[in-house]
Amino acid sequence: MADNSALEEVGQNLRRGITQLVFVIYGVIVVFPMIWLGYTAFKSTSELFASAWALPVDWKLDNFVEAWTEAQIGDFFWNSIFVTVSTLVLQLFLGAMASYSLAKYRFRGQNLIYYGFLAGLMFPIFLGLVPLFFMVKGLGLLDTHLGIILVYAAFGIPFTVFVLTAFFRTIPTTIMEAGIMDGCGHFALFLRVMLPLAKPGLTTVGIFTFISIWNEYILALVLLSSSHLRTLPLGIAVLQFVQFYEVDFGALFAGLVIVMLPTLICYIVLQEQITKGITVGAVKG
Amino acid sequence: MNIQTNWRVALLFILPALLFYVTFLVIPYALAFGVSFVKWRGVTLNMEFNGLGNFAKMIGDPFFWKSLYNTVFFTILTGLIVPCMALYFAVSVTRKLVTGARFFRITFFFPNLISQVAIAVLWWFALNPEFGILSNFLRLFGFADLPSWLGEPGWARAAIVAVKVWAAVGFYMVLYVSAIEGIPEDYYDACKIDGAGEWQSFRHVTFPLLSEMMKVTVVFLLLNGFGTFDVVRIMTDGGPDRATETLATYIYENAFELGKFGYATTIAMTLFLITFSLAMLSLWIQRRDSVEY
Repeated sequence: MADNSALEEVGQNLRRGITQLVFVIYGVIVVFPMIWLGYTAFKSTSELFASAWALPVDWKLDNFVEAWTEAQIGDFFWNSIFVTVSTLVLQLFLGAMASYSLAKYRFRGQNLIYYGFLAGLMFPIFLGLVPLFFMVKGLGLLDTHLGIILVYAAFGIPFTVFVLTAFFRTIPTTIMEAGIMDGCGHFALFLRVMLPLAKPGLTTVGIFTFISIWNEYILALVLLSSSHLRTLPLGIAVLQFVQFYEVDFGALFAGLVIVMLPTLICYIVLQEQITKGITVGAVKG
Repeated sequence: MNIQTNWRVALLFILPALLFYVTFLVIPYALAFGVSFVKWRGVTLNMEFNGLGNFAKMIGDPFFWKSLYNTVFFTILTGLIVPCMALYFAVSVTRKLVTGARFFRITFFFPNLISQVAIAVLWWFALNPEFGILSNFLRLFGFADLPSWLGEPGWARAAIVAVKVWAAVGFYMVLYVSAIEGIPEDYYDACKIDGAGEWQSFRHVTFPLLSEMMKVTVVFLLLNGFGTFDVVRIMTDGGPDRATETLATYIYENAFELGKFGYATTIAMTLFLITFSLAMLSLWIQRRDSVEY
């Protein structure tokens, strides 16, 4: 008996050890490529070919300067900021109004509209891509920031409505009545009372919208063609395509660091909220 | 009058969002159904009704079948590997079978924050046969004559699967972790009293109670697998010799590089129908009553 339990303990420790090892190895596979990218961005292309592992001889910012100016990463960065922030404001505003109406008012066809919005979550983007291209073109918005912002905001509405409708439903109706009693108009009531109360929901949607728009590629690829209008992912993709032939990787490495940092920082700061948000999205969906 | 039944106000609130939604989603998706039946090339709107001609052309198009095959291949492999790894990680983290659980939970999620474009370019670098980390790592162990990973059909396919897995595991792990944390601790205590080990409590408690989450997972993985685009477009552009071409990259090529808008939409419609019916089928198979606890 004593032997048996000792054997069992050895087995248990062994299993624990293996699990721990698997975690460490996978952790390295996840993190090391990013670290490698981070320090390689400071190396020149000849240094890179001389040794893949070595740290840079001296940490020069040349690649970043070249990326920012010559490779236009600076322009792409500001384009991305502009497009992301505008989309965020527009989508949250439109989505919040619609959600508020769906959650707090009662009218005919309400369920149809609600499920109509949610259906948008199920359709693959590729199905509507060609007609969408011609729709944007027909509106004279092809190859403009305005066009892509409107499209992004529209594509974000299903998720926004999904999260915020659930959120507005939890806010008691008596607050609305009190507001109207105090002489608020319907819109003022929404703007001054309901919207501030929905802040946690807005934050969740806001974080996810920021991450997905900052990283978006396919719509930008189809809707933007001028080089000065490109967003970061599109700019990086084009740069990679060009570097394929020119073999000067420094600027591309630096550009990758620039596109990756904002969302990683956002995650490290707001980690709890992001984790919770994912769960809300999936569990109720 | 009850304020909640004031439908004029309600409509005013909903109208702007509805307008955007109809313009950029409903109409394009509805048009896609029509466009898949027309012959339509070039930039003008001169479409020509083609009946089922586009579908007939598709069935005779070997590249379509190759892209479909690759797409299914990527979807099945990632659909099997991702949930298994994510579940293993999630159980180990929540059942405290590993030290530093919090650290791993945070770091494993990193790839989900990065643009697919950046992930693809990063791995395009990392798999470079000369200076990439994989080749250099293997050289440390004396391997010589390493292949050009993205230049050979078999390796290129494996690389796409690996990168897709790398990009997705953290997300599903977070999903499973939160689902497992929602299971009352009493259930596990009861298991322990009955003398069940970790494996048995996984089999009889954790796994059955994750069935709701599994339904969600299947739908997500189907949508994600059948929509594979960014990673392929950037790492291999469908090559070598279309070995990694997916339906999505083939649609893009037909529409925006060759100007065959009608034909591209026909393939897109097929893609949608396949994804949709598979999603419905899997929900139907998993239709058991959900467990309340």
